Amino acid sequence: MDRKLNNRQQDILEVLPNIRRFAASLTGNLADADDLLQSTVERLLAKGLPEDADVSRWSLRVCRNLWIDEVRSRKVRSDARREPAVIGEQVLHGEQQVLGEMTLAEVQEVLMSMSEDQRAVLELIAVEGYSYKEAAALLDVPIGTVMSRLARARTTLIEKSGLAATGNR
Amino acid sequence: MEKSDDVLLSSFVDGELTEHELRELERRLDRDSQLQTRLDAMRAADAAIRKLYAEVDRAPMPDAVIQMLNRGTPEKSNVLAFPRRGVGQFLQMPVAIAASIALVVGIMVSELAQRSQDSASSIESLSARIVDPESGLYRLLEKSSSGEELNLGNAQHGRAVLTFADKDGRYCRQLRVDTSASSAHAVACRQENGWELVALAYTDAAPEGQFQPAAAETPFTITATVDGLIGTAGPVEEEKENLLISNGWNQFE
Repeated sequence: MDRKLNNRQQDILEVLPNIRRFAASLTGNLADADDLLQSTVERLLAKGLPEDADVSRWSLRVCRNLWIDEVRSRKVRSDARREPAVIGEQVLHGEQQVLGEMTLAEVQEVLMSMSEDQRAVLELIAVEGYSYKEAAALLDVPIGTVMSRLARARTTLIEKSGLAATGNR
Repeated sequence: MEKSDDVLLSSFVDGELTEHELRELERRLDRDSQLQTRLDAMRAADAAIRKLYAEVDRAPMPDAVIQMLNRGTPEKSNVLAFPRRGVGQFLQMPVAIAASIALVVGIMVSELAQRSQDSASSIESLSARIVDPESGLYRLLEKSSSGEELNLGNAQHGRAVLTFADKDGRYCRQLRVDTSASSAHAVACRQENGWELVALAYTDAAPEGQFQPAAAETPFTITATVDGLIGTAGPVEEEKENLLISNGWNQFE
């Protein structure tokens, strides 16, 4: 195993949490996210990365493509959005209150009510800190679409959480 | 096209406004308290989302992934499809449990890889998605009643645990195959031409002399799959199951 490959492995190791969070935004649950993460790492190890590729962005693209090609085409995708909210505070690890009135469980419930596309763009930008241009390239959509999806996602979150009560417009 | 206030505020949060848009919005924010409140709400929403994803980070990384990376070679398994339709959300269960599921799957995959070097076994044949019609496993799925133990050879015993119709009307069976050291748990559904595995997990046998209740040793992956698939009719009763078996799993109604 040459030094370059070792470096690549280390690079992938460092972005694992990013891939996993992004996978969770796509799949909607941790168990499927971990399967997707594993498939992504398998693919990265099997096919390698271009010499000049940004490991994080490349990995997320691979992750997204795998989700689209393999999982969705097999129609075994977890149907998270149509599942009723079955979460209970007693089983949620971080059940502490956030935002005054909103619990983490409620945040999740709102997140699950969003489309997969909205969840993905919200995760990429609000959590991973990507620019609109980078997110657009990653998701293969125009920047305008990123912008509007993101605004819709945030609007949904604040409307459904009651945060908009005083600032509604 | 003019951007809505929400798009402007959202872009402001991300530092994505043009110079002109930025100056204009800042001017409006200074004199419009409702707009400012809306902006604060957007920032708070982002903070909440970040907290939620921080919960994902708290779950230990799947061991199988770390091991694969350390080896530097991909698993040859094509990860089996696990339609966890009953597990709707990524924080639905305690993080520790979620992590243990991932671990079970990881262990299962590596164990199966090891087993493939051994002689043909029923557990090994579980690594294919379509059950070999010549296998003992197929015989178990096709011909045995739930609870009936079948000797599969190679010191392995298997039994169907449960039969049910899924939401699309397909018949599915939960099963397990035991050896002295380990058990494979699976869910398979009857397709037109045979049985397809839709979930698989693997557990070690309890240490000798140590009692392990049956329910406790069924991996969550399996129960979640059954919960997600099962239709409103619930489990198939014995009489109907026997009819299905004698009918080659064709609808008889």
